[in-house]
Amino acid sequence: MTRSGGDRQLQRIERDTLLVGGVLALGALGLWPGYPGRAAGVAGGVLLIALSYQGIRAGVDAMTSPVAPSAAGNGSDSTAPRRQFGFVKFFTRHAILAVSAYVMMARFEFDPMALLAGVSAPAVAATIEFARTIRANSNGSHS
Amino acid sequence: MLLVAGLVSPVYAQEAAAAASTALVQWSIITAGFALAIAALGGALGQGRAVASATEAIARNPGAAGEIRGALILGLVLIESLVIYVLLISLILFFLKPFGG
Repeated sequence: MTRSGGDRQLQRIERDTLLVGGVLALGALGLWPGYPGRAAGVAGGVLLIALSYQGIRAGVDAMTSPVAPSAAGNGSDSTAPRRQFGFVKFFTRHAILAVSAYVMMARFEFDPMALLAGVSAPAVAATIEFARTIRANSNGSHS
Repeated sequence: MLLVAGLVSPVYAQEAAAAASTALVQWSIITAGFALAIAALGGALGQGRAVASATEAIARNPGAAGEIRGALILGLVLIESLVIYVLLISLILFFLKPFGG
């Protein structure tokens, strides 16, 4: 199966999100060396948005992927278990997120503002990708 | 009389301050509940519109399904991140109680 432009764009945003999260966590560790909870909070925020992303992606994949007939030829869908698991991940993601955020905040005592900063990582990554697209388009129109 | 009033008034002031703090905590929890409800409503409406538009676009042009799927996932994640902001702020108000209590 060939990768579409949308998949490549998503891969770049995933990579940039991890990079932005890593830079923010290292920045927090450098600025406040005595408070590791802040760096851990940034990492926790990135983990929260990654959990959400995985759930959404699994649900969208389950919704848009074509039905593949089984090798037995009995008319059943061979990808049905994977699709069902995708829908389970999609519909339970808010509960998983709430429990994870509660554990990080109330039990591990991660810094709440750092968690918010970590959750912002995909928005920053999407902005970087947007700027990259604009630059590529402007370079293409000048050449 | 003045001496008694002078001795008693700080006690009343402390009680008033404690009552005001309790009211602030109660209102912060009520606000957190409403904020989460409004965020969930807005996020659900936004995600519903995004999914409806994407499925309609894929039905009209199945060849562009890959591109539309990528844009749909990105849009859903960005909407979801706003809901997660409100979830975290509500959890701060529920469990960390920054206004005391």
